[in-house]
Amino acid sequence: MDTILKINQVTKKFGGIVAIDDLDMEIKKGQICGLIGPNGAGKTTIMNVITGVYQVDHGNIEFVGEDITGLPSHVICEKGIGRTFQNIRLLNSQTVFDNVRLGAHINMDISLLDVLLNTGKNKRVAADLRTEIEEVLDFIGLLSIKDELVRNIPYGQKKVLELGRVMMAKPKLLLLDEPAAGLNNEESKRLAELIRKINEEGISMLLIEHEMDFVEGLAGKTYVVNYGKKIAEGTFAEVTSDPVVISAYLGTRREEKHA
Amino acid sequence: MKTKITDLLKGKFIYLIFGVLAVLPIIGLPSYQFYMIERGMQNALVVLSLVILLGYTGQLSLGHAGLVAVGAYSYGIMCTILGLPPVVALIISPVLTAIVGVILGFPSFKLKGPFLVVITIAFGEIVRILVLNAVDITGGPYGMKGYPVLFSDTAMHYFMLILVFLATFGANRLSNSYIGLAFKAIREDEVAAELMGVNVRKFKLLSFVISAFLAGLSGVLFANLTGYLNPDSFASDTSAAYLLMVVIGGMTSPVGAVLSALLVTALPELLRFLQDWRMIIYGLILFIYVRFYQVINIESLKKLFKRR
Repeated sequence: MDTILKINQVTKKFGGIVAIDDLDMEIKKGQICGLIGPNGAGKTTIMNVITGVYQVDHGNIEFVGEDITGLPSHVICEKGIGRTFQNIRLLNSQTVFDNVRLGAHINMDISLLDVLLNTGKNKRVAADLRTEIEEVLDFIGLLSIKDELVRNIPYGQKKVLELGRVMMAKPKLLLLDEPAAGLNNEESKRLAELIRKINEEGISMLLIEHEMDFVEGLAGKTYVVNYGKKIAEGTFAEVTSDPVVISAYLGTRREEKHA
Repeated sequence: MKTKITDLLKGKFIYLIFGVLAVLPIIGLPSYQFYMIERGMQNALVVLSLVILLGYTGQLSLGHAGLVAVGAYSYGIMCTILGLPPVVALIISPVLTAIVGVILGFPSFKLKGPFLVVITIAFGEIVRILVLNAVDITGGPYGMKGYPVLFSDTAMHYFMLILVFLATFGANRLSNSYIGLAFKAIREDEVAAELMGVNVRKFKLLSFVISAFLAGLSGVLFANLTGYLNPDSFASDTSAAYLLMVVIGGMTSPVGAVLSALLVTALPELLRFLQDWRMIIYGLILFIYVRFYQVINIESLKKLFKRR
């Protein structure tokens, strides 16, 4: 399998705090890669570094063999890395439909003049886009509420909508930041199903999640981080039986500490 | 079912406004009232420019009077000192203003909210003071006059009508396009916009450029309407008036912007009969309007026309 994303010795500091410490990571093409760790371990920071929200202090990031370190976020998105957010970041005053439409932004090849004159090209693109958006909405199961304002739809649907929006960008790599957080069992199951379907279309993923069942069911390789350091990697079963990981999550027994 | 007049206007509120404006010269209003309508249309262009910048993109500018001044004075200077034909000046002035708009747009990369507002106020003041002191070119405090105008009264009215109509349609199309959506994404969440692939800086600049172009065009029309330019016409209270108009118009509605520009421009004149009380009542009306904005706004008006 080819590597789609490679993180080489990346370090990110905020003042005196080392948020990511000399991290190496690799995601294979077509793989769902899990990323777990206790709160504040630096998981979201890793995503922010990959997507160019933060600049790294040391190291570099390669995406399909190309160095993307230091590129602006919108360029990284154009290259094919899409992401969802831990705290939903949708356009609340816009409709469900328009939120998905924003995802197609990078694939839009229309000039301002085309828009103002409403040229044939503009009409054609708009019509194609409409069908495409409706397909995506159908796929994520939100077609029936496409004209609702996002601020009026329930939390669970917002989570799914973020997934639909990023799908419109046709990414090669999808970074999912706690997609199942706050969802009930039923919703979470449906979301896992959706993620698996997206993955079957050949989209690689990096999945951050606290819900262990969720990660177990989806992730191939799993990385565990704590205090910005990678403490384990391997299959989900391997890492969860690793004593270092268990101690990071649950702490160590008093006797063991003193022993 | 009986067809009502409002049925014909379903979703076509915009045509009603422009229809009324189109028949005005035929009715033959007294010249002062007519002039106020013209000024309203000229203001409508600035308000549309603010709809794009503030309503869509969320960048608040209190320096738009400065941009209008750039458009007006460059028209005047091109016609007199450079001796260009008015039609050429009409085309170049808004383009020139758009370039100035780029400069005004740069601070928006790093500054948000009140900090950006302060910069735009400063911009407006810089333009006004430059105009005031460049006596050789602009006439400074004595003003500038004697430049040729494009059209006579009625022709000018229809010319402006066409421009405002086109600008309203353009703003509408922009709003529905992916460009408008990118603007709105910047307004609501810059980080999310950037991560969805929107080049935030590029689109902010684009918004400033389109906005400045319209403001510059409005400046040219101002120069044509008054036949006389004075720095006092472009003081910061004018920028505040534009802001008032865009807020009353509903911020994101181009039709609302036109309607609001016409009404708010005419209102102080309609209240002339109140004499000393005029400005107090004017303020009170605006105050009451903003208080009940949730109930009476352009959207509810449009719905009224759509429902029946």
